Amino acid sequence: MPAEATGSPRGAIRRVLIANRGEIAVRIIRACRELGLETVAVASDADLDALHARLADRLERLGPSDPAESYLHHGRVIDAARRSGADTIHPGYGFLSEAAAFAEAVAAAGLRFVGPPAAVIARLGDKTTARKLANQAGVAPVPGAGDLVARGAHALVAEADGVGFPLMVKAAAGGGGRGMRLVERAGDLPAALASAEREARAAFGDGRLFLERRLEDVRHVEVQILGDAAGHVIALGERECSIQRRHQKLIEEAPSPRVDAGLRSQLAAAAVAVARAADYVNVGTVEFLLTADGRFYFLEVNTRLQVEHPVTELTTGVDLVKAQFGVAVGATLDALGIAGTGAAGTCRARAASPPPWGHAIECRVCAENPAAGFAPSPGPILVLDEPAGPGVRVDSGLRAGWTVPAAYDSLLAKVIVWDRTRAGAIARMDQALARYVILGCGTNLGFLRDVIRHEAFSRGDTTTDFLERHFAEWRPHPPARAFAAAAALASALPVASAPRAGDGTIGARTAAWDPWDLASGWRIGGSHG
Amino acid sequence: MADLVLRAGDRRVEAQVTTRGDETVVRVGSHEFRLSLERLDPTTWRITGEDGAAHLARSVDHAGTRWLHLDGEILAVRLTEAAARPKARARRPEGLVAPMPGAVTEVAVREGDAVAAGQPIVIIEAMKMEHVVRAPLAGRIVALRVHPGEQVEAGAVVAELQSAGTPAPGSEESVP
Repeated sequence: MPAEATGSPRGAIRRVLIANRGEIAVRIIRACRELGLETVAVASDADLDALHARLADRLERLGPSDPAESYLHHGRVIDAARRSGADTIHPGYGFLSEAAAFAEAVAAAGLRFVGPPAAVIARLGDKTTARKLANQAGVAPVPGAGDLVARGAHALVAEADGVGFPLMVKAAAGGGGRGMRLVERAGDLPAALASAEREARAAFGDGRLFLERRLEDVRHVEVQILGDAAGHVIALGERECSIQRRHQKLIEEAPSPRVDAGLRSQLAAAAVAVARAADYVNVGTVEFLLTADGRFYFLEVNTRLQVEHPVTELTTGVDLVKAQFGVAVGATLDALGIAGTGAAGTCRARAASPPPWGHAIECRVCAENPAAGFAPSPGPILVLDEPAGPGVRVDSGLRAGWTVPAAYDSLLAKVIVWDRTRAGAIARMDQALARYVILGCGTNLGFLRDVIRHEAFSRGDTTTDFLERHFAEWRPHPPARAFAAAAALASALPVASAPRAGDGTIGARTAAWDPWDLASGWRIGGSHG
Repeated sequence: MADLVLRAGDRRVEAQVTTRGDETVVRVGSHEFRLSLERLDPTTWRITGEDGAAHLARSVDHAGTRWLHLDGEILAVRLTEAAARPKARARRPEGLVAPMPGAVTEVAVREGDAVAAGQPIVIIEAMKMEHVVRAPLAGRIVALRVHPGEQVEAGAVVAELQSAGTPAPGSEESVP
């Protein structure tokens, strides 16, 4: 769409509304501060006391905690921007970040949207269109068959034999694993198509489906792209995100342990070819599946900042959020100093990624109870101590005294580490996770640490079935000494009533005890004989 | 000396705790730990073992659960005194509990229904994920404690199940 028709403001950004919550809102506020931009947070009723709501210069209430009534509500978000005098909206990831209609509405309201033009979001958001576009750009998509509303789901049944089993049924408008089904046998296909279509229609208002061959022993490898409004596009290296649970990424790293310089430049060229074909502007991610023999297939394009963007930042030195604001005001990559590592000429001439600098790993810390099958575990943050130190970055939405609400995604924070080598980064992550104290709300910290310490992970032997293969039977396994310490502390707490004769220990646990009572002068064991 | 029962998830651990002067002796199964505890602030403790090595522990007690961070491990345990542990009485209805806080999206049975082991009883949703509370064994639903749309806390009893294999109330004397 021509810029004149959008009504987008020109000139400098002054005040940014961040249409998101949690760690990513905090991370974007940080970038704004560095750029000297004013910030406006939005919060649902469940989040009025959240960290992001406290940190921003202004706070706008969005409405009830239900995402549809708050963070997903186009009108309320745009009204909040108008009320607060914001000229720009950054959508973060998730929520409205890939809603083309929202990007259009923002432009129509005379505000700037930090992301690709609405038409680009719409084109790539339709997975079947994106597959065709990649194919035309000379990049092979995962073998499959698709777009099938025109011909009906029965047409897919006819095409399934050509695709081969097992296969994946996916939603054209898909995301987040919804409308996605693994089908092992032809006989299961009609039922899978029917239920996937229902789910896709409910989730996206669009029941169109396509098929992809289920590739075995593959890695999820994706390339960070960055384009400016002048048509320059570069690749900023790959990330490997094979450690996934229920189609949700859990651990990501850059570079991929299986991508060498030759493969890296092929991946970069493919990603840039897709981005150019889509007239891509701003940051985005081109996702591929990489087979054991080094072939790769196009999966999809995510037209937004990615959760795992920090591993690219640490290995390239590029602050992707600041770059987003830069290209949003029309700066070229050259002007932002991103294009060149000494190379002259335009970025168009050099699509290849600069070599990655060292190794970075990210772990997603989620409110999940590993002892109850990773059930969501919202709860109060009673004690919080986040790791820090050389090469350790924590992007967190947590604060002590806050209660994690049940209404949203379970992602609490991300621990990102950097070191010169992968082995060094693994050791650093292990220690960073060990130092992360979150009490009051169950988390997956112990699980993450076991994955990081697994020998298959340290070998770099990571495929998308890694967790099913190595951690299907995993249970929490606190050592006896942890139980002993818990028993000792419980016994040592101050006694509310007089200790019973001959019993020096118990009775204390029932004492009402305020963890925030810093005036405590209790001495352990002091009242016992 | 005190006998404690610690429960973490489906794990149950018994511990005997004795204090001798500044030393706390904890026996867990075949392990014996001799610890000295020093409270540095309301949630921070230095725990020194027999070998003289100090370990920093963070710990807090909340809503009946003791949370502990020690040497990179996080533990959430419910503690009871072994003596105070209620005797298992087979004919008492079993409370089915919510494993997480959330909103009840569906109550799949009615009071009085006979249910099979594994049958869904109540569906709870939180953080965009559903959790199905199922009957752990065959029996009859004697009470439903929640309604669709209601918010529940973790550990809240959502339904009571009378096991099919137990006698009806009144047919056997209760333990004094």
